[in-house]
Amino acid sequence: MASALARLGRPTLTLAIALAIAALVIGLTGGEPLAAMRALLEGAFGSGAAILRSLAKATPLILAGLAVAVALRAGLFNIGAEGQLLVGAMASAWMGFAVKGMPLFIHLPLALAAGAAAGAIWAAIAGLLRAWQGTHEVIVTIMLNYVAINLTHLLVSGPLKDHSTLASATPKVQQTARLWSLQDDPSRFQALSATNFSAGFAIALLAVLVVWFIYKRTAYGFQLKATGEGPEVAATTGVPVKRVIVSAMALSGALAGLAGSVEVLGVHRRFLDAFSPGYGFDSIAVALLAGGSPIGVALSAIAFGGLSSGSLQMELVTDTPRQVAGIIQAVVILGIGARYVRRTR
Amino acid sequence: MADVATDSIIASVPFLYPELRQAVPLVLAACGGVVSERAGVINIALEGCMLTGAFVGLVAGQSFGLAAGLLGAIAAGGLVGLIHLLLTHRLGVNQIVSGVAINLLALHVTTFLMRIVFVRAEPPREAKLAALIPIDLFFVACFAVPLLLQLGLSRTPLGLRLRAVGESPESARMAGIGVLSVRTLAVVASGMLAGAGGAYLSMSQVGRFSDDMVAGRGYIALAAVIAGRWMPVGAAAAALVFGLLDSVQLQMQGTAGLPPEILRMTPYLVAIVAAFALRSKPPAALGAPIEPSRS
Repeated sequence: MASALARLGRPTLTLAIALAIAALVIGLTGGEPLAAMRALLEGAFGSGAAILRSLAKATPLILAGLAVAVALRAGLFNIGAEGQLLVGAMASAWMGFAVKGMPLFIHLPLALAAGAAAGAIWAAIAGLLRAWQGTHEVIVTIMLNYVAINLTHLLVSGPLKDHSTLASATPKVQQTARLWSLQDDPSRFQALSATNFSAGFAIALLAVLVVWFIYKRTAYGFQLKATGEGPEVAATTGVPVKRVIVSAMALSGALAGLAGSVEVLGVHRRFLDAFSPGYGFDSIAVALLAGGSPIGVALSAIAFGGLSSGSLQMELVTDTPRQVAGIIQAVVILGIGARYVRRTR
Repeated sequence: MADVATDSIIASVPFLYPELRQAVPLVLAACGGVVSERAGVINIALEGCMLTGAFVGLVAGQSFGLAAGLLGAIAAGGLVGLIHLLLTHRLGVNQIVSGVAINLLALHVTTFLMRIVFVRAEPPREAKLAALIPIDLFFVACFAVPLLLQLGLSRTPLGLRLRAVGESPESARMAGIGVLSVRTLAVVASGMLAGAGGAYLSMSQVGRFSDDMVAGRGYIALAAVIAGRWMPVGAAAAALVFGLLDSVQLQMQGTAGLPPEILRMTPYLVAIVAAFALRSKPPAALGAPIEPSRS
């Protein structure tokens, strides 16, 4: 227990320093730091609805944060979670609206699996190039982000567009491919139904458990760690390093793809162009703050989810620009930064 | 938009002009990328340097005139480069992590300041310039900078030192080269070039600043560095091609035919293909940290 508390110490301190810097920035630019920070915290966790909103925001961040964390475990830097999330979301949306007449217990898992598979394939490209050609995965994943942004934009404004709406969006997914959500029953959940909270949160927590189990209880978990700590040494002890690199990227991409799936199937119920405010990029901060622990990923995703939804409240109440949240995030990345990245190439 | 630079000489060359307009910021930032990476420092922060340059250039240009604005933008880009170097070489932050954080910081700080300085000011101001920097100035730079850099890197003692630091900092140190000073110079210069690219966007091409106006050009520049095999002239040529794709894409908007998204994703695909098919090898020590105490 003492060691668990010690592990929380540094991230908590970093977060506190980042909040202090944000308050300073607000003060220096003529705002009211105390009022802004209070509005931020109240907006994040101040009421039942606020907490649900923050958890809803945290849902894709947990999954995408796990994606970045799994790759980091193997010493790989997956900057492409955003692209993997987008192709995953698109695959889930397509599976959700195009396939008809299946029962929920088949259709929903199929739609989720499509998202995970698309994300896995997208990320595996970077893994394959890295393993067999030594091409830096950072470059490939960055470039694939922009390919995914343009590709999904192309699909959603052309071939897969729902022409009954002005928005660039696919048709809505079938009832049988929808994740349970508070928005489905406004008369029962009243104000809470507008929080976007869905069963996606449970899927995210399940993913945390699965990743924790892989790390702690499987031979593959050991191989990931050994590859991350030193591929040369790992290879001499019989770890199939190339296969681990490819499969780690695929697993990472599957988690990021799933982040897109739960947003589509639980929140928007369709692929809406530019629906992601950068979850894939935020997930880098989430994973770094978590420091390699899957449970840490959940905690830091909830912290960032709160930050993101709280910053909207802060803007509304105190007229402080919500970009403060992004500044806090960047400071956290730098504060925690280098410690958990064992090697870059 | 072509009306903003009717006095441009190059505007009279009908084919080159729209292409160059899109390519200028890419060429300058890509040259910056080459300088930094040849010295062994991954500079994902190009995007952030450009955005900071675009914002500072506009603000300084509004208050103190165009020349001061341009210098301010270049200085601001250099400062962001210096921050990247200090974080990575003094505080031990991983080069990729630092680049990601700097881009995030630049995006949110400029957007934040845009609200404070312009949108919510009493009375609200517009982030707009009355006059523009002549576009020809940047066109000249767009050809001169890559050529000079190419010569500088291959023919001057400083260029040789810079490449040595990028290939093997240890050997360079043993040969008596101040590794940290060379890298500092390279990364600051890299930021200054990207800052100039940003200034072009806000002060010459459109004459206003808007949120996230660099919009991924820093990453396209990075793609040009790879496609150009870490050579200034090669990177500039790749940037010109990417600029051509962009201008074709802009001209085709609203017309039937090839979807613009295909052209927009091409630079990134080219970079991926170039990274493995051309056997395009980065400098050997790219991304490797150096011991700060011993340099």
